[in-house]
Amino acid sequence: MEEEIKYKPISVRRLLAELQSTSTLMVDLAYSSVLFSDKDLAEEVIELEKKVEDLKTLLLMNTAIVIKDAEDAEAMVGIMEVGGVADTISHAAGSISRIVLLDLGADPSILEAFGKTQERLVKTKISPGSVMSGKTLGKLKLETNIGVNVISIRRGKELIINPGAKTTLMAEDTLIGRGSDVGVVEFDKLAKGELKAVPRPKLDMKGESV
Amino acid sequence: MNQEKLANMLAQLKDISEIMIDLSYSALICGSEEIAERVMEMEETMDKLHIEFELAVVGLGVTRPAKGLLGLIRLAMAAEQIADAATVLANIVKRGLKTHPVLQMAMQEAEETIVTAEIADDSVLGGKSLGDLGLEDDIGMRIIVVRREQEWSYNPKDSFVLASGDLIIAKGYVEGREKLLSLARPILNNNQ
Repeated sequence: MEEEIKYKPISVRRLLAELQSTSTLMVDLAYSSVLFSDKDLAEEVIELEKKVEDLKTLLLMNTAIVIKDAEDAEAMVGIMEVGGVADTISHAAGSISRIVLLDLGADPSILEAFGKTQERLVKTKISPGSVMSGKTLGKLKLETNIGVNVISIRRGKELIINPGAKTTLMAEDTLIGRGSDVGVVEFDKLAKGELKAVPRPKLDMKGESV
Repeated sequence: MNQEKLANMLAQLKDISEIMIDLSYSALICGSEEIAERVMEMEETMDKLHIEFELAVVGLGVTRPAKGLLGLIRLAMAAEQIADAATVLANIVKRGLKTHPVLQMAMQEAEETIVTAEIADDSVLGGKSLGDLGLEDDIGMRIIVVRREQEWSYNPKDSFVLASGDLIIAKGYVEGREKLLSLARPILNNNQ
């Protein structure tokens, strides 16, 4: 039997932000699990699906408790709907992951389609000589420098989901990154040590070349 | 139905559903009915494409393993589910439900944000192609939609040339957001 959820006072803003970011991340993780036939990643998405359900319930409780009159109700209904949407997206991600868990992801058109999308997913391993090795994500600033977000790190048996700025990358880590077609190629080259430095932005704040 | 066309359709279903999500969140943040309306239009495109895709998959019949075909159908269905979720968000705006300020605060707190900006007359962005600007690789912001007068372009290509007066919707990380805003509206930002 599932654990019962009891009301806990949590800020609505925090709940909303977490619902939105978790559900968005789940979609990327789920597509990655299909693209790389990764069942561990797929299981992780299923775990997150339960977490999002709980977050949604807590959001509904924390909005319901402040409603006193019709005006409050009108103001809060939008928030409740957004929570529901995050939950729907999370379930969609769950459905995507179940494709891998049920061994339904082998059609060649799937792989081909992922090579044609706007946002690309890439899986790569850090070689010992890579500039990434021993650096934190905060220091590397891959998002702003090359537009790539690291969504998961596999380190031996450990699977780190949505690593933060303080996470230090290590040689032999297997990363999954998401970004543009150009960005993911740079990302792959950085990990393999073929590119020695993180490309810096070519524009400054005024749009002048630097 | 050739294989390439099938993959193209699947890629499009994924891309459109993701743009719809981005657009609907930005409609919610700026309370824009106009953007919400775009999401509704894209839903129609999505529905047509989804049926076309399902028929194509069913049409493959015994030529490929059934398990794989079921996977294709489920993948497209999930994209459709995501697109439907976007229309629910857009509907909040279209029905004129008040968006609580906490909603905007929460959305802007996310690592990844959506930014909407109009290109000012003195912006360096005007007259340059997206390929030349390289915003995505330089500041990690990807322009997903451009509105020029009544015309909307989704996922504009590298050859797309921006002009002053264009409304751009871009997606990226918090730091890139400020940089893009200062590029699009230099005067406004220098005065702040």
